Amino acid sequence: MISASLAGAQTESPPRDPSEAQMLTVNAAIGAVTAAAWRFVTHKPLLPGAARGAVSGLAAYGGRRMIATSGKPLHWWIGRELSALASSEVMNAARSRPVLERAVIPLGPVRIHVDRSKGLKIVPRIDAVSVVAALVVGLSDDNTFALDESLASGTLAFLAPETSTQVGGNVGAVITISQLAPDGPYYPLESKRRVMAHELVHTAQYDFVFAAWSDPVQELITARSPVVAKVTKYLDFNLTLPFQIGANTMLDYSERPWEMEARALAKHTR
Amino acid sequence: MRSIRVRHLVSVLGLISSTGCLDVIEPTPVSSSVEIVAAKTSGFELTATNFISASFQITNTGTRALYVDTKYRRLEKLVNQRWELVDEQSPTSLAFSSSLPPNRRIVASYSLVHDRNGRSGSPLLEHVRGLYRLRFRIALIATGTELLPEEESYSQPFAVDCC
Repeated sequence: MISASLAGAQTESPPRDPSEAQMLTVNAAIGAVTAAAWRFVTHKPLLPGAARGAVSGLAAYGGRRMIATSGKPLHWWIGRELSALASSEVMNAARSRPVLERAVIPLGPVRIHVDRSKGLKIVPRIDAVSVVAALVVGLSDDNTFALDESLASGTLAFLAPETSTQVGGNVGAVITISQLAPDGPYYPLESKRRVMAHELVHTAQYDFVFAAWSDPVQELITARSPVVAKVTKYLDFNLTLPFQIGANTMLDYSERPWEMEARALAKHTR
Repeated sequence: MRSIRVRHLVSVLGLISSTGCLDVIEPTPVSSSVEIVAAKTSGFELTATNFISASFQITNTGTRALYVDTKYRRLEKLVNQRWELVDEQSPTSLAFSSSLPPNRRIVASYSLVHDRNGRSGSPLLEHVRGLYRLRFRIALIATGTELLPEEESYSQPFAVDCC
């Protein structure tokens, strides 16, 4: 699990960078297709949901862009939450719900599930994959928990010894940063903020996949099984993780669209 | 009621993110009498050996002649935004042979070979890439009796990329 996901770090061969227009188009398409797919499954009209999904996909991209361009902790937080809200909105579009009727707000390894359909229901759930990833990364050789970086980024962060081929990593929204990355512009070294921005873009991508696919699937399962519902009341499972690992394994680093986006966006980090 | 909750959430987010400031790089002192910048750097990692080399332009920006120790070098590497000692040569009192008059510049070189299989050497050289700085020994008297303070003898940080 770790090796496959860490293979998504940013210092193997550099990918070709997509243009801003390409990234906007692809993210709008992902939002539209995701909403339309769920509508197709639930036998609802496709076009209205696809249009809303496209707008939400663009907003999710906007959040990730904010993460990457600023390099400041407050913008990392706002960018991630904006992206997460927009990701939730894709599902609201898919299910024909009012705007932001349901939302998933990530706070580190915890996700706050907000449901406004019947009053205001707020349920915190812990992301099981993030917790396991944090344990594995934290117990790995010489990695140390990075409190400042965790607070600054709103996600669990660890400092790792540099291996010369990897200056950052992300698995299950847990990021690792090389302890040798300088917090400043020292070309040709990657700056610490750029490494963090790159990995936080992956975290926001993870949030999208979670909100758009994993959470709805978990909801479908728990609706049919009260036992599972009880056990998972405060637990989120990332059911798409095997697909993510599979995609990382099948595609070379330079061919992964999620790496192209993260790399292109992190180039804007100041 | 709802707006109060939102305001609380926003204030908590602001508090957390404002306390979560990243460590800045430990500053490198800037000397008023000498300027030391890396002109060229390189690094290699081979199977059994790592190698770093750099050349420095040392400019006397003061009004008195300076004398640079030709033997002594202290290499530090940035780890977690703090400078850690990597390598230091023993200072000798007879090595001040490079004279540097005011407004003149000399070039000094530095190279380091790290045996990856050896027991000696800093673990910080297991991988070459990183940000470094080098400290020289500079004196106002040719015999080295009147040394510039240590904080006046650092090069500006320089990056070594590798592999």
